[in-house]
Amino acid sequence: MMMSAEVAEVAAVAGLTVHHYLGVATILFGLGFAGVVSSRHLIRTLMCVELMLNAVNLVFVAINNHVNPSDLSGQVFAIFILTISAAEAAVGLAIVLALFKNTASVDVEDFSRLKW
Amino acid sequence: MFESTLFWIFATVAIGAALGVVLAPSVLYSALSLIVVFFSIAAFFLLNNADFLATAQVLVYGVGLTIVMLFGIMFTGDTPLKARAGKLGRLLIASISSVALFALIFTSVMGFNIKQFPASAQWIRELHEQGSTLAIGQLLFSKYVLPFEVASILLLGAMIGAIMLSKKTFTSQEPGLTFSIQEGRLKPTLAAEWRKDVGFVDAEVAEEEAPATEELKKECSL
Repeated sequence: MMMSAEVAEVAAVAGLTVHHYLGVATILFGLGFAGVVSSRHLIRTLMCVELMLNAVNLVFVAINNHVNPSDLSGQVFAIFILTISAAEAAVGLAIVLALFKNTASVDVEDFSRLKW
Repeated sequence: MFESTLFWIFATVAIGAALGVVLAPSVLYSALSLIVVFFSIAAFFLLNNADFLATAQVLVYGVGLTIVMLFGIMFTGDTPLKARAGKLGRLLIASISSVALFALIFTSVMGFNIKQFPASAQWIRELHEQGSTLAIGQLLFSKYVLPFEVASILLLGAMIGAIMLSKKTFTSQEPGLTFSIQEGRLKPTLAAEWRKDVGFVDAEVAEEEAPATEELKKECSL
């Protein structure tokens, strides 16, 4: 596929490849995972899950823009992820509040009733 | 050059704020740095020609979701967690597993070498002039119309579920145990008392419930 002169110029000026965005998204995903595994506060765990979802969104958008920009399917997928993460946050916080009402605690270590 | 400078600025801000989300001593501070992460990711979307998605990111994540999180923090209180044994082991396992996952994803991502199809200059000009909203809307209502409808059903289910989970459950027949915050600490109180406090109960029901509440009080040894 021939690269038109204008696109080549834009790419040269920007100096950014898709790998820059993938690297940043990977770092954000890794930090979010570390937070989910290490945090004991339920709400912080939820926030770190949101961080991981955002990193995945960034990957979708960056690959869409650099690999096949004439089809915006990646951005549509990112919109679906955004919808699902909003629903997940609402239900997750409702569960956290119900747990807090019953046990007066938001510590993950307190919810070990199903552990054997 | 300009775009590249912007990218490095926002990358630094995003990673620093993400570190803040994970490591901040108070969960309130980590919610506030989460806002910074969301806004810098919106900037990345703008750098990738995704103007509609950047706006949605700011509206849904940067404003809506963090406000919901802050409400959750306000409802549960920002008290520090009790110290527990085994902190070192937990930290060790968490850091080893997350570094391993990061290394795995990073090496595979850096080897990402798919053939890239650059857009035609005309398409880029169209995107810059009209924005991506029209194209996204056309995709959403033609190719992706079924996932779109499924997502709307999912949102309805999530809304009903969240309301059912967080509504009050006790009835006038059985005075349930609920919690109230007194002197910064949680104390169990009785539902009948709570209703009397807010002027909800009528005298008849209160008289009927009076012995029950006395018994419950003894049991709870307030």
